[in-house]
Amino acid sequence: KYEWGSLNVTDFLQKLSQEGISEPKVESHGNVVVIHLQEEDALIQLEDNSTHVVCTGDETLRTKLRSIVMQCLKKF
Amino acid sequence: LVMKENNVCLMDVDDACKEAGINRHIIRFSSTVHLNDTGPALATAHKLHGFIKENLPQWPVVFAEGEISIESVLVKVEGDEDEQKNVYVSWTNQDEDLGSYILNLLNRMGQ
Repeated sequence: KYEWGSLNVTDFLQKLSQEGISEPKVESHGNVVVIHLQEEDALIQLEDNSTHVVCTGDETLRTKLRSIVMQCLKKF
Repeated sequence: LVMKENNVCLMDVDDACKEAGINRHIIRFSSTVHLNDTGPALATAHKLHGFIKENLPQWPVVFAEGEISIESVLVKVEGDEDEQKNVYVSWTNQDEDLGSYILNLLNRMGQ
């Protein structure tokens, strides 16, 4: 499967909160949005055509973030 | 597999997206594993290269300029000679199984 389209930041933040990931720090730099999850020690960088999920070796958190990112994108 | 002007052809996924006017969205993951291995970072990278090759004998494991790559998975070692090393593992969503397998392999090694 391949993902396409852009990720809606509001939707993404709402889904994070539904999954119990609260108080993310959101910063915008032009068309780049950086979401810092301080408690989880993770960072998500969103651009129009790419998403970069940076975290520690904690696979539970990463797979949760992966699932949320994929829910916000279209697939073919 | 793309159908174009009543013909069916095989096309690279990026070309097929361009053809269809679709913006592909690339998802990349990066994780860090801490390894207690003193000595130069390059020596640790060599060890990891051997270890990954041993565990993935069917895969093209490439070692170039101190970095290990297997498809879209990149493994990079950083840290000074007498310190524990930070091993960065990064991959795209299409290589999720391979990337998470390598990360778990290195996580187990670091324990």
